[in-house]
Amino acid sequence: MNPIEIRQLTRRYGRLEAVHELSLDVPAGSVCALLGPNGAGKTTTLKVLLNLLPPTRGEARMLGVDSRKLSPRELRQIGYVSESQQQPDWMTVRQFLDYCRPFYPTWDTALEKTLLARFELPPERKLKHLSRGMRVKAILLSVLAFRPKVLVLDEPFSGLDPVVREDVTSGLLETAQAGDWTVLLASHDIEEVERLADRVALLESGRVWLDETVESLLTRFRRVEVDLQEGPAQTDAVPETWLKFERAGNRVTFVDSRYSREATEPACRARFPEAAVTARPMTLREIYIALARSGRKSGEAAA
Amino acid sequence: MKVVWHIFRKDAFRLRWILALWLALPVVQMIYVGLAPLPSPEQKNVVEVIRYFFVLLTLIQAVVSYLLVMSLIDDDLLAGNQAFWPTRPISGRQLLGAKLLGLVVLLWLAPVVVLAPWWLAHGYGWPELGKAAGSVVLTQAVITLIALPLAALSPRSGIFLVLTGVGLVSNLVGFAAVFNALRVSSEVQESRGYLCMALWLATVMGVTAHQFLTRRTLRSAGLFGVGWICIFCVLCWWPWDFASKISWSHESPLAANLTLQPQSALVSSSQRGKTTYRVFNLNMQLAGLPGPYTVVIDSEQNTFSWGGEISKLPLTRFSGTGWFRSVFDRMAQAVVLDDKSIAPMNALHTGAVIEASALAERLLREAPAYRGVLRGRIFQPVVVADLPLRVGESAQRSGYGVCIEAVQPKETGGIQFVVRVFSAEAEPASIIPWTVGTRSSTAVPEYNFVVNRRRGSISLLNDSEPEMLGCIGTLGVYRQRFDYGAVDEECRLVKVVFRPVAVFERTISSPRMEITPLSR
Repeated sequence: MNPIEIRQLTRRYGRLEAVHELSLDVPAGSVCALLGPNGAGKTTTLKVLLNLLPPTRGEARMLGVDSRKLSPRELRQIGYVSESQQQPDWMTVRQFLDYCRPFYPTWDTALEKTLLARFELPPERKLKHLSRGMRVKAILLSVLAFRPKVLVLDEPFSGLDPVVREDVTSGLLETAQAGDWTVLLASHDIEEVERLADRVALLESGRVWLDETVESLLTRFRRVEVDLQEGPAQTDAVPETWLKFERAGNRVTFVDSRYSREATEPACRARFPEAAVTARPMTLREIYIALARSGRKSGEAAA
Repeated sequence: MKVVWHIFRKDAFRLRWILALWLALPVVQMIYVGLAPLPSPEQKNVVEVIRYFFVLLTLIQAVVSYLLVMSLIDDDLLAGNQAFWPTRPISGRQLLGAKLLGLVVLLWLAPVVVLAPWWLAHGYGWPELGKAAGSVVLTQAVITLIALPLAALSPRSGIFLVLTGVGLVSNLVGFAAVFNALRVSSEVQESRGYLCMALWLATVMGVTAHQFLTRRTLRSAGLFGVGWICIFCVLCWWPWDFASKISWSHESPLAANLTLQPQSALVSSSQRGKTTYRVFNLNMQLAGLPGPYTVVIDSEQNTFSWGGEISKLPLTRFSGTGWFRSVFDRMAQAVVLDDKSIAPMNALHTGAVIEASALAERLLREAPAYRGVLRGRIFQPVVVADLPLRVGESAQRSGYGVCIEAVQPKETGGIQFVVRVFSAEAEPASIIPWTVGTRSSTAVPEYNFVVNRRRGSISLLNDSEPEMLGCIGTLGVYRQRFDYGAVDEECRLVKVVFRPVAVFERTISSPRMEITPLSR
């Protein structure tokens, strides 16, 4: 049993289908990032998981329980951070933590104090008077302090400056080292995702069209540059796995989504016999952009 | 329970200032009535200003109370998908428990606690305290029952206010239309009223519980809509009478031997302006009432039948206390003079039904079988104040108080004296001119006497129109002026109030009631 399991999930808002037959498993101990453009269905998926929205069809399970039947027993082990979520803004940071603490038998007061100091949160300031970044840190603290088994983060880095972003990320990483947890994270901030996640799921129009470990993605995607010089070149009918294929003068560039030295270089030689071929690793951000720009269809092929 | 208490404490802490301000409103009234000198009788305008100030404060209390319900729910939203609490280990049941605890403790009981010293300071005993606390709790409960479902369905306070406005307008229009079209007997109307109240209660409880337990706002709103449709359907079309079969009150031992027997019936004519009405009069013999008590019939249902054909009188105007004024007068005087020989009011009792024109001819033509259900109250005369007739003297007992503010000679001879009166028989709604409180609508006679016990003289003072100043949590504050000839040092002002002590219900019947025509 995976801590997070989503099966054929569909969620409609009137006529608009925000999520369409989405299936996703997040294994225990992994950090999975949901990536996708605005409106891809990331937040909706997370809200269904937390029972903030009912599914139209299909099901989402957390810790083996249907999200519609989540009880305080499960919720004591689940942390949810969303920048858009209503908070008791009239409370000071201290009152907020005092309010949250009794709900969780596993609340770690020492960790609370450590994170309070690390995040440099003013305990006597009201949540509504905190900056956006401070507010996210306060919410995150209220979640990390009870060492959840499952952590769901919805755009936790949105609108944060680099320093706060670093604080949040390192806070997450440090806490992760101390416990075995499963994280599902929806974000646009791919640099942070690359540091945190070991798995990504790409969403578009409410559908998952890629679900893979980060390691696998980084291994199989390469940016290939072909220097044609004066030789012949066959630039039509390139393999579907070559994304963003572009020719500028004597230079051809593409992203190979199934790179291997044994396969890619012979394929290049067949089309560009006298060209110099170089392949360099890509970041997750580059891979995401390549996949996003090349469109879902080619992405499916790429996957 | 720990979670419920934890959330309740959070809500109480959050609302502490607004609650304090809300509870301070009656305290302001108390301080004013207790400390500030009331304007002199000549300052009519000031009296009016004070009166409307009290009305305003009472309205503000009601409105703030309504908004407090919203505020209590608003911190843990039930509608929308951005609420904080569903992502924490809090079940809908626990949250419902916490909010109900908050409503009961903060909005129902807190005003009672604030007002209790005030009531006690005005001589309230346990019965008056219970009644006053019940009245405050009932008022708060009604406000809560209106606000609660709307608050539960609103994802934002703005939407709550919009729903309130829409609900207010649509109900006013809807009920006005329905009431104009009502053409049913009073028993069916009463039955519809009971059923609508029960449906409203069920709707509120159903919608609130459903929303707390499921957070499915659309379905809850659907339930709310269905509830309202049912209420309107019942209000328009419910055909059966069950109200006449309901007895709400436990009968007191005082009424155990009380009997009412029909003696005679007659139909007369009555002129009102240019219209002539037929009036059905029923005379009954009252017996078995211990003294010194009196009886007032509050309502009745009359059924006449000729074989299988039944006719019910749709409108009843039973005799009020005016019919027995002399009995009340005698009783009041006897209690002041401690006259033990006073007899119970086992006298003839007359009731009248006006606008029985359609029925009158038949009643006269053919003697019907008669069955009547009468509900009434038993009153006991009580001396609530007995004090020397001097400025500054005051006395209080059983929720009534009298304070003599002024005794001044009149130019035309004699004196006029002004008293400030506190009365437990008031209720907040009664101070608002366009509403009628249920208790204040019943004419319960109060008597004021000037007594000289040494000389054995007793003079009934003429009633003056009381100047209602305000009402603080069921304690009405008003002023009365009395003219009197001359007083000496031994004269005392004695106030007698007829207090309701028991209720009763009697069914009377006659297999053949002979009805006599009587021309007036």
